[in-house]
Amino acid sequence: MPTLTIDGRQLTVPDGTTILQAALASGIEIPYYCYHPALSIAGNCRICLVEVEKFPKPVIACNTAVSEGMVVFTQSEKTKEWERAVMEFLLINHPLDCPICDQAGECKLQEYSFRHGQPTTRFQEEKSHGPKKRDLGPGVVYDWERCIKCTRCIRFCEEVTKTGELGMFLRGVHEEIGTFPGRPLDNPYSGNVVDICPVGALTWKKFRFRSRVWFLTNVPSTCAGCARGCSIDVGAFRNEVYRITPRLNQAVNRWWICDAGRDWAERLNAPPGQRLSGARFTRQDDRSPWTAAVEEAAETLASGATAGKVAVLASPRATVEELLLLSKIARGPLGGAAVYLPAHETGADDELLIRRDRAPNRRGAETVLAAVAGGARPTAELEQRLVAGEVDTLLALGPGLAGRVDDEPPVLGAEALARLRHLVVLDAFRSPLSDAATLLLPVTAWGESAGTYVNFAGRLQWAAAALAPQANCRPAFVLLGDLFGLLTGGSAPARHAVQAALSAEIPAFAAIDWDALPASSGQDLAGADAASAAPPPTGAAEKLTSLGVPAEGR
Amino acid sequence: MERTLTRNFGVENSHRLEVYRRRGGYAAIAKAFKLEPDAIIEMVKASGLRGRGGAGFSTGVKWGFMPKNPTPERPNYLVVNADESEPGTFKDRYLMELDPHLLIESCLISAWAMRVSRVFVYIRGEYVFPYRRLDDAVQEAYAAGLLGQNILKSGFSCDMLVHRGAGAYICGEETALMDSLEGGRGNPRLKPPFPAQYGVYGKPTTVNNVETLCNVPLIIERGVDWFKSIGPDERNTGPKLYCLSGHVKNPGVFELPMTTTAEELIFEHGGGMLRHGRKLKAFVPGGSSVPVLTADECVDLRMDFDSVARRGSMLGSAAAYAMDDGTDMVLVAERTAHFYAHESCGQCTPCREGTGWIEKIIARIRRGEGTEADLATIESAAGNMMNGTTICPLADAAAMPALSFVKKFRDEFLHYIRHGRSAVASL
Repeated sequence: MPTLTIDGRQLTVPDGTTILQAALASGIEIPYYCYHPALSIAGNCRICLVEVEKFPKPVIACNTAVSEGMVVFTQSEKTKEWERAVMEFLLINHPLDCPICDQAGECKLQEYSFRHGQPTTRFQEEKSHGPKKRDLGPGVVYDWERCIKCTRCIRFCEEVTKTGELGMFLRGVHEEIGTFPGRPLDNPYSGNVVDICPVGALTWKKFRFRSRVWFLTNVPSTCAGCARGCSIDVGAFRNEVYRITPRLNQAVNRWWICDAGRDWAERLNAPPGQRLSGARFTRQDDRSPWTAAVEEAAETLASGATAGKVAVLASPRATVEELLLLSKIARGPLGGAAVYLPAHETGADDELLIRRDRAPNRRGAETVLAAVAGGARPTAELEQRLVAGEVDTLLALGPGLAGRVDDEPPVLGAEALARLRHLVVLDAFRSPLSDAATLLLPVTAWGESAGTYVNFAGRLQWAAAALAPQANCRPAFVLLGDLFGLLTGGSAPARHAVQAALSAEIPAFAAIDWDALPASSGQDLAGADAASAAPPPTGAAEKLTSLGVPAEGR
Repeated sequence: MERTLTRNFGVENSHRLEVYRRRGGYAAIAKAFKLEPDAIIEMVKASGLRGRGGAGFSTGVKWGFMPKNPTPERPNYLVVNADESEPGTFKDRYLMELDPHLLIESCLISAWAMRVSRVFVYIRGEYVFPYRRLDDAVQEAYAAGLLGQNILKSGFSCDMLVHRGAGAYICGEETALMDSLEGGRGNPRLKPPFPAQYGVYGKPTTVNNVETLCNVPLIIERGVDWFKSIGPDERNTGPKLYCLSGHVKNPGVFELPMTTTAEELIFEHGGGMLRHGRKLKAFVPGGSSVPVLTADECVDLRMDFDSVARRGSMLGSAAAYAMDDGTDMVLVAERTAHFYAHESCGQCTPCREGTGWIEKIIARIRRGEGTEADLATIESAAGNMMNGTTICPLADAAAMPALSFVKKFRDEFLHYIRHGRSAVASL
């Protein structure tokens, strides 16, 4: 454990730590472009050159291991001069695209130019010109003029996805990032190269030129695309999702998300008719339609329960709060009705993030149902009971809670659906179930109301409300609370009461600090170790993890 | 003076094994096999042999960095740097064309000393003829049992492979060379780790220049004392090959001791200025990457590593070229800057951007559109590229000539700036 001094501050760090990592871990800023904690060290951008006592030449902080007694100066005249020089070199041929560049506002060139550069240029020549929009693949566009050749994108494809689509071509100032003939950048994680690009050279086609980044509110949330539950930032503007980017979470997704999650807005911005709007029910009077509809639903379910022919269809896309209310409705007023949980699986688990289970909360649903409603039962059994005439009334939540499901197989077969006399559906997007509903209560979709999910490895995470709800729908949590109140003769419980009940009634949730959840990296359920299921650390992070040093930076 | 390194130059069929053997070849390797490997490393250290590729680092010390106990899983490798690409340098080419077996024998002795089981020769892609000569010689040596298993029944086995480069100057830098040899893009690697720990294919590797290695049989055959007796002092020993070109009557490769002066080289061995009535104006002693010297600075300049360094330049690869007073030094500066801008690998920001910037400024001055402030910009940009701001020394190689041309031939730059045309054309 050598002790070094950076700008007069003494730090003791594990052997093998680099100057840059030691500085980052203690909040001292050393600028960097090519270094990324999840990638190997390239050492090519040269902006992290620092002065070290007794070293005759500048050293790059990213590749210099600390040694006992090392004295580093990040604010000395020499260090600042080297920073100014590298900034000047980086900018001489860099286009003044900032007014039309997607990266503007979150660009490291802008930031470091402001902090370490100079206000004027000595460059009198014609700047180098090159391709401004070259498709590297279906999602990513490359701007040669903006590229600073840090090779982060190349190293990502070699070391993280191990697909190796990108390479460096040509030489010197003509160097360019490119793909090999017949092998475009089309791996399922290609969008991450846009995030790690420190400048505006790589842009995401679906976000390109759509919004200035400073108009977006980046709401920390959790992806609903699969059982991984990646931590994300939802970039919304005027109640529309423009961009979804990964949020660093070492226990779940590290620095990455998949392209399907990145493009989740496409599943929210459904074609007309896919999004459900306006309650559909029979009783018409002069009260609010929601009051009348919920009352009718409660009466329908209660009479089904009296006849002993009611069942409940839950969803692994509902939040644990919603699922607890649903379970309590099933267990109490519905007389212990069986609760069924559909599967939403496609493809296979891959080695990085994507899970074949395309629902964000299966583990949460199974945990809640097991503790409160006698366990989650397979939908095949529900179909059998419907065909056998044992069930004629169904309360269904989902399956379209997180986005459109028109490309998914139906949860219940047409033959089984036809046997239902009463079908009460709470859902956000259209499905055969909502088409067949005798009573439809449209609910808010993912992103419009908050709640918690448990990922496949037992990580409890908060999915925030980044958008205002669409017209003519209500949060499922509110509707289920109203139903619960009507059916039990009590009142609708508040969210904190439901969360307290989860902790009190289900041992796996006993230690959860619910108030700390939003914007955090989540908490493990009792007995879970989510971090062990996160993708293996790569690059510098692999070494840092072995040293017990947090992999700071991005 | 007796020619030793070039003793077979001019002999008919000198590239053939039988001729090489008839003239005493492959005697040194037999002698070397009777010596302990470490004893050879000590001899090379004691001989004072310094690397002939440009850096002038002690060869024996470099060899000493290699692990003493290689295993089949972690063998030692020797790489011969035959990527002779520094403008003005053509000595290794002649060694490989005219005496390829000398290089093979040198590699064998060096391999024995460093416990190397495989030698890679990385030869410049444009060197088609030298490549054929050397590769034919390697096949001859294999057929004669001089390469492969149990060489000369010594129990020592060593393979040799000749690999052609693809035409990049940067691949003469030893770590870029290793990346290229492995089949990758020739980009210099970050150090540490150093080649002796992590070289070709991650194995301990020593990279030596062709001429450097060719000195090794001489040290074995004739002894350390003989080797040290050639040259001016303890730090500059052994015969040296000078590549003389430019405006001289008799350009070529000359084997001389390092006691030779620049004037002797140019006016005696080189036969003086090519064009009648012209005078020496500038002299580059060690390849295009070293600072240029004025004619005045060449007076009484001994062409050894340390004397040239004291004059503010470098012996480099001993690629000496002379320019007469009809030379437009701004044009030379531009052409030199263009070379380095063209050859920068592009990895490091200062080199990728700086080399092109300097070229563009000098080109603009030559178009008659320069200002005096441009000279300060060249000096500042070149200064910012040097002394460790980049991974490898190519940036220094581009910056040093630019700085020296602007400093020593400032008048010619100013003439372009003030009059829009060359000072030389008006002579």
